[in-house]
Amino acid sequence: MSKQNRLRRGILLGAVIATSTSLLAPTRTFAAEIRVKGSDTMVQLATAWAEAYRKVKKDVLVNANGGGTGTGMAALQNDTTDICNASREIKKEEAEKTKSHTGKEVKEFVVAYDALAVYVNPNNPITEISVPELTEIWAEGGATTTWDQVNPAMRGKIVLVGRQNNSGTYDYFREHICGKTSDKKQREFRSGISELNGSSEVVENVAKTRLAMGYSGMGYKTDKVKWLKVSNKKGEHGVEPGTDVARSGKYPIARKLYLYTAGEPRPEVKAYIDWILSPAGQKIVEQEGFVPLN
Amino acid sequence: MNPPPQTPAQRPAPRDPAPETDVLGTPETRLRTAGAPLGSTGASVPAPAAGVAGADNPFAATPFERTKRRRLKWNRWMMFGFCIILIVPLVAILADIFIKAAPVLSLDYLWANPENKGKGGGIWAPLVGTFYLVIGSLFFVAPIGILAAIYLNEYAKEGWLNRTIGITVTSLAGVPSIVHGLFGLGAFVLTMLPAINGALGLTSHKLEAGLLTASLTIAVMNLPVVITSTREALGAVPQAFREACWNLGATRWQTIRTIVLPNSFSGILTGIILVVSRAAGETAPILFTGVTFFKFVADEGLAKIFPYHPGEPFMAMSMHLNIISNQISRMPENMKYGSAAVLIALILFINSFAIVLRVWLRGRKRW
Amino acid sequence: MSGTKATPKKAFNFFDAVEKPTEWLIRLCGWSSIIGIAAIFLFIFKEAAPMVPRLDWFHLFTSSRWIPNPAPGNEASFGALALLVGTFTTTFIGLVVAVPVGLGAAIYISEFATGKMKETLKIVIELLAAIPSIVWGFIGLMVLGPLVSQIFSAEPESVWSHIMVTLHLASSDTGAAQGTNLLTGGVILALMSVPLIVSLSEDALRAVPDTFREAALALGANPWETVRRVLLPAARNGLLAACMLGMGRAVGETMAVLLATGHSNRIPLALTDPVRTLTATIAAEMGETVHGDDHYRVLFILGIVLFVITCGINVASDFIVKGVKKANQA
Repeated sequence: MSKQNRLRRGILLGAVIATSTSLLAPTRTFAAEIRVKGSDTMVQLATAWAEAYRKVKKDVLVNANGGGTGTGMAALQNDTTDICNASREIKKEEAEKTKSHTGKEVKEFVVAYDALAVYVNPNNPITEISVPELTEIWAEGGATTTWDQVNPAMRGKIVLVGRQNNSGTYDYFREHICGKTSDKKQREFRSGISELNGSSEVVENVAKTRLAMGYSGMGYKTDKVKWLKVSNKKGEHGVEPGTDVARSGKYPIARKLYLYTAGEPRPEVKAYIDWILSPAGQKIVEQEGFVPLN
Repeated sequence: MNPPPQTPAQRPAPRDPAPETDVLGTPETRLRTAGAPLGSTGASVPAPAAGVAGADNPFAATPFERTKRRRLKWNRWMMFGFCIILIVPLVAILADIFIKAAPVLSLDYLWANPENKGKGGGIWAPLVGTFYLVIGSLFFVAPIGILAAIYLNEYAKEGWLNRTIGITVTSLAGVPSIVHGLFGLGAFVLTMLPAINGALGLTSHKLEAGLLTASLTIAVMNLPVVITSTREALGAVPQAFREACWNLGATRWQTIRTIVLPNSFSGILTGIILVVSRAAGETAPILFTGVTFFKFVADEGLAKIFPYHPGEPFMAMSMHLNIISNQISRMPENMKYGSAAVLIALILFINSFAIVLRVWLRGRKRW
Repeated sequence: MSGTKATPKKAFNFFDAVEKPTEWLIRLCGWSSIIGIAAIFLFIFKEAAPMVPRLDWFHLFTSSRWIPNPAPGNEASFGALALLVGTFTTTFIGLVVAVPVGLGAAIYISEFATGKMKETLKIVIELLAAIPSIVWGFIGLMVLGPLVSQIFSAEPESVWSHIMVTLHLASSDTGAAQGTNLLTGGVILALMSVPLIVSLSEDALRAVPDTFREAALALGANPWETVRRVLLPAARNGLLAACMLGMGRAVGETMAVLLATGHSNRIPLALTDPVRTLTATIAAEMGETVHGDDHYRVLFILGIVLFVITCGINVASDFIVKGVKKANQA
């Protein structure tokens, strides 16, 4: 056999060995795998849970992904996830669609509380805002577009930074801040809001932009931004986001964080959810900047 | 329009008699010093004298010519300036990225898995995922592309088929990458996978969108590259070689197999390497066809080198950079730059290798 | 000669034995690109088809109200005007920067540079072409964005702020709201398409026969005049095709604009307004949709629109180049 032929056959043999080894490789060394998808607000929390749970149960693999609450709901319907993280309550149509696609009822688990903070740039002198003012700023057809309409101390156009439209945070903020139109329909957001992909992106953007106002979970605060105290009515004292006020409801924009499964979860999934609701899991909730259940 | 060139007799006396300074001397200064008379053309020219106002030097530059030369110089520098505007800022940006990434780059960084959503650790899992994506896509695109180019160049006669294939290759090359992603989603993830799952009867370990579908999508995207570069390589083989083979009684396939393919090897290899670099860098086509940001990969052992099964989601360098750029809170800047630096270095290395290979192989050609 | 000589048995050669099947395989692969493009058409139309009769097409192209996920009880609104405007404005800015720089660099490399300089420049351009789009997006976000934000910021009431507002460089009197905006996106697109424009323009200039150059030289033109008065008009169609292909690349670009344009659904009124393109919308929103949903199908329809635009650009540039070949042979 000539040298060239030997070389060719050697390469072919090597390729065959490599391909077969990779296909047969023990990649699934885990006894069980739990797929988690959904809320971007919760993705850091979900990943922290996944990494901590790996130390608790070595043979269970938890794959946590983000993508937005809407993505998680879609995955639940398409049966490509076991758990859907949601930063808002499931909508009726979503529950119905899940039932029709998978044949199972949705099960809901409340795992934490969160407060939605209104972030502004540190150079912004404003410290308080009320929900009606927020409505006029954020909703379609709202009257407030410049900072001096809110507070004469600050000038310039209000640059609005929000989340993408599949996000549970987007849905929640819209439902509770944008209010209703005259014929009782939910008002949409105004157009022209930057729709950013991820809770931390909002915060980073606000940190770099002097005139920005953005909404995101309170767990994403960095020392490059500041948050506003929010009051229910104009003139009232505003409340800063915090664990107690989020749980008690004193902070106007507080919400629950949910886990959804299609039907009763499998034993290992149930064990995981139970662990999340236990003190060990709730400690991680607190570490990540959210509000534990008790 | 330029005025018609003037004969020496018609030319007005130059107002500035000093000729261009030139070490050797312009022709007229040489003639002057030699003392030779001018005018074998018959035009009577007054005796030239350097530095005297009003001296008539037929070869001196007129103001018009000087303007032309000045304009030439000016424009030449402007064009060069365009090249500089293009290249210098980019080199500066790339240098900036590498400088900012320097604190994290190390062999450990390449070998360790990402920790804490990429805030720590290394980039092994995405790196090996990109490697497998490249190999997978080559596995599909190389045979089909090379055989298609052989067909176009050796077998197909000139006609509507050849022209149509040419048009489709160009159109395929122009399709946006996100449309390729949509196609991959529709064709491979939503149609092919359920068919395979059904045919093989898999219910618990179903094949999901992963390496297989992503490789196929990238393969379709890179098909035009392979076809075009292989066609050029095959076309560069002189027709005389083929005719010699036919004269000796070889069939068309024998000719291709023994003479044409080995001689066009360098061009084909260049095309393959281009595919490698494109497959390593693309993000949009794999977004919905199988890549994921976060997946646990074993930290040691054989499973670290072969972590991905073709039917499950995988990590890739491009997606990793996409997500850590701005979607992870409190991400250290160094890690972002580190990931970008590794990706850039990988791509530049592959492409430089292709260029060097091309130059070396071209030098070895014996015709 | 009596009797027949026994013919020696031909040695078995694997490759010769499979010649017929191999030739069939080659013929099949020859059709692969036709199959590929047909498949792309087929599958994208298949996914978009149920929505095509139901969609309000007029609304799609004239309204900028893009609300695919309405609040419960509201109707979804698929108005893609702002997205189309975003795509075209970023491409336009990209071309405004890329065409002069690209043509200038191509002219320099083709006509003025010699030897080592020419080879080096060509290699550098080729390496620049290889940089992946996610890295360009990263550069736009991390390097160019802060730079643009710094340049286009001013104290209220200062001279620069007045200039910015009058010339529509910025929407507010304190300058650019954020670094990732139309200008950043456009410049990044320009940097991405320049290598393509340079290499195609260089091919176009090289295709002009040397006789043109020699004739110009004989008439006394210097190199710049040759370029300006002879080569540019002669290679005009090829250069136009090069720019159009660069434009096609810019229109189809996804990851770079996703990171660098600020992703805001609005019609830009100033150079530093954040915008959103068709490609970024598809990339950002596709992962969330339920397969078979209205939103999902509308995104495929956007994909069709994008496909039609880029196909149109490619076919047009192809026709332009064919026109040139005929003219040069005549």
